[in-house]
Amino acid sequence: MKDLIECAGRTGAEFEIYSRSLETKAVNIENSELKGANSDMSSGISLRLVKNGMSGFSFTRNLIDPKGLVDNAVASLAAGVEAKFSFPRTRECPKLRTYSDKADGISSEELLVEGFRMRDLLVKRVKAQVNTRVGLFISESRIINSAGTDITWKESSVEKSGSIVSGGGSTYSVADCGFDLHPMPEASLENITRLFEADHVEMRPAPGKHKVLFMPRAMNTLLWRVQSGANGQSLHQKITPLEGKTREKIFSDILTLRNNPLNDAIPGARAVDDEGVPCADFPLVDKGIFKGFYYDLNYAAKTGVTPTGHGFRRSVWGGDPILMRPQPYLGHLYFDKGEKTFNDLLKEMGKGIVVFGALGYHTGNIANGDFSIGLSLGLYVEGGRIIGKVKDTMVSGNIYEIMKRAVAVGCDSDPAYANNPPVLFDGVDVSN
Amino acid sequence: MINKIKEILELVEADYADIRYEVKRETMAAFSGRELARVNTNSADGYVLRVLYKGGFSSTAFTKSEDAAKAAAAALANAKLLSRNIKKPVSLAGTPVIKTEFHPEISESPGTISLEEKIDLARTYNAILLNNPKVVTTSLAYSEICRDKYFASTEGTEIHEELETVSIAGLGTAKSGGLTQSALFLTGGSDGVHRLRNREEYFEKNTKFLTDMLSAKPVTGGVYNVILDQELAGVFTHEAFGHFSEADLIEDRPELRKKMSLGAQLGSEVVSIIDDPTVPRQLGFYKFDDEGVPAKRVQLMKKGVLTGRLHSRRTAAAFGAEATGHCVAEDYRYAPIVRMGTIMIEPDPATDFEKLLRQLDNGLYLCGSKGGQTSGENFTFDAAWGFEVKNGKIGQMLRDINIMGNMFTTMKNIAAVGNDPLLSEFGGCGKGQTNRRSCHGGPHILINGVVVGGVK
Repeated sequence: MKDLIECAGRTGAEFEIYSRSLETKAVNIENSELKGANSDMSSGISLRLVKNGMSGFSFTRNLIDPKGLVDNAVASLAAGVEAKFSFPRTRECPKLRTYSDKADGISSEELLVEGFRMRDLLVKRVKAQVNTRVGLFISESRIINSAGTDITWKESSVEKSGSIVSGGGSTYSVADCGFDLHPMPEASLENITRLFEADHVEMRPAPGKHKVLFMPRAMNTLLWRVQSGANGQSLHQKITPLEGKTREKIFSDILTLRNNPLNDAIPGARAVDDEGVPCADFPLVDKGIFKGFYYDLNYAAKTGVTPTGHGFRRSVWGGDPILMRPQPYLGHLYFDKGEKTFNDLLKEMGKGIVVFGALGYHTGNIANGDFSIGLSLGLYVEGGRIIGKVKDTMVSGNIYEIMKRAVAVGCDSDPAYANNPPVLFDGVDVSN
Repeated sequence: MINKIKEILELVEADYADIRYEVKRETMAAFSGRELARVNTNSADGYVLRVLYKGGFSSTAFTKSEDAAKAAAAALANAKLLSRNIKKPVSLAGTPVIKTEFHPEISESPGTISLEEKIDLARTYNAILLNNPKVVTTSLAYSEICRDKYFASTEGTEIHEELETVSIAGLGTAKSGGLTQSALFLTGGSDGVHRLRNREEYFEKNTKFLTDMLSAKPVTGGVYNVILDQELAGVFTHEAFGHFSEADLIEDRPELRKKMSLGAQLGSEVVSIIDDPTVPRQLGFYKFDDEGVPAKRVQLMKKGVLTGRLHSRRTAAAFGAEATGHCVAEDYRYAPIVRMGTIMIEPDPATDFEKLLRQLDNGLYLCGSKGGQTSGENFTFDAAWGFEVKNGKIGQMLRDINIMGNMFTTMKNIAAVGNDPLLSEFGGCGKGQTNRRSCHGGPHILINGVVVGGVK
């Protein structure tokens, strides 16, 4: 690393070195039988240069040849990619809980014990295909730049999921995460077995406008479109419907939507983004009012605003942080909780659809806020209770219209889905 | 390099082991609107080691050669853990021992062309979009991915294969008032940069479709009879049927496996489907998969009857079948999994497009793709745009079209198949890993009774 820093410094450019190592272990049980146990270990370094208003980039998996890595980045400087920003000098940042010492010692055997425990609890209660999965992730990341920033952080998480797959392929699933290995609560597993009872009755709701409850697992349908609309890059490209709407009411006043990387109650909290800019609790929509766009260094400079600490080396599609350059991204986006339990929400709904899983949430006219999803799992509600599974039905709409028709927010947030609660909307188009 | 990776195999005392070392060289030049937003040329490398020990089969991916011993120990420990806890021991279907080096036919290898020329090529097509005043931005990139793969197994197979994939692809976005519309532009292939030359007509034609969508009518949700164009028919074949022909996806799903029994009449009699990675000079072409098995043409469906499926060595043994050479990884970061190569519905020489339109009479003609997804038996995908068809004539343009269905129902609802097959130039199947060479296609097809999402 010392050689790389010296070599990058000799270019006369501003530089940023991002390095990350990752170790993973995972076990998966399919149809009640152990199917896989795998471990991976990877590392890498990527380098960004800024010189004379131009940007250069390179990466490697093995720092065998620091000069070669720097030469690659210098060569890409010549291609003419404009960069109007400087790397930040960040010396202090809040201490967040991102790692548990206990995670280091977790073996594949221990993951398997938890996988089998979840399986046994589900198999005891349902006669159907049961799958479980437990995965451990431990990473160490570091950002060094020519402005004097040198920040290292470790992260750990254990992710657990259990699912019941019906004969028709509908998946009733539950997920949980923590900094180290804790058992999935029995109540969570019991909950999906109760929902599974609805699988035996197939319903086809009448086409038209319905009340629809989006559960946290399906929330990406709505949040991907918000990510696009509030992105400083979309504003720069003039493709966002939110242009000129800062401080205007765009959602129902019962909705507050925030990106809060400082929330270290769940794994993945971040004190700085992947460019070393301090993160902050960032309310995107406060009681229905749009508060403003989010930026990385690059698009903040292009727009002439202050970066908001949202430059991350990933996108809504995921991505390998070594191979990617930072771009504006909301990785900790969730609605503030409301006051209604799940049963309260069903009662409020009276009649409608609960969306547990969306098919095609990643397609359609995302920039415009449009969505049109199939239901990988949708349950039909009548008289305030779930009475069956929705079959061959699509739910469509535009988020900037339906968010105005939010009628209630749940009080139970889901840590496996960025702490999102369920949200109930009125007047959503349903077709079949 | 083969000798070096064979040394790693010697670290493992197991019934079988294989290792793949890969150098992946990538060049990317991406435009965001008129601005050149990203340029880089890089290479990265890594290893994937797989170990079979007394019926337990595990893999470890690692990127540092000094981690080889640790990776070998982890893979072996996991294989032993599996061996102690599984009821059905894994075995691997036989495959010939092969020692060879393979370089596919390439016309204009990307390595022979300067970075400046590649950027200029992308800039030219990008300008075609942006010269239309209704197009507000683009996200268009030149990309090349060269996988230099070395594979060795304890059975004695030693293969060195190179795969080069190039594309100029991305998204164009047009706007009028408060309405934004976008469309994908996908050109490329696996046999050289010549695929990207002289494509002005494609970009001009699709730019017109993109901007025409601004005055198109949103589709009305409901159930329609539809004709899918070749691209959408290919996506349908891939998403709705193809994934269920991947043996690993049905292996542990008893209900699905029963429905997908070989010999079952799953489709209408007009439907025959193949997957053939051996078609030369197509996007999905390769000679050997990532477990050293020669790629084979597989007849998946014949006149609606299920006749075959795609296998790895592991699933082939589990199903009592032969390995088909369809076990492929994205790159050095992943163990291979069962993937489609080039999947397509076979054409019916007697049915041209006009005949399909007459047979449709009233319904929708849906074109292009914006991606799709499957969950269980259900699938959904977006058409890029579409048209009303009335009395067999193509009419008003439609937008915001998403269709869904159940695979088993829909396959039986295919009423006719055209005579005009085309294969895709750009892949991106995301079954856990991204397969850039996933190729699909087919002729125009007519399907009855499709659920279309939209405003009611």
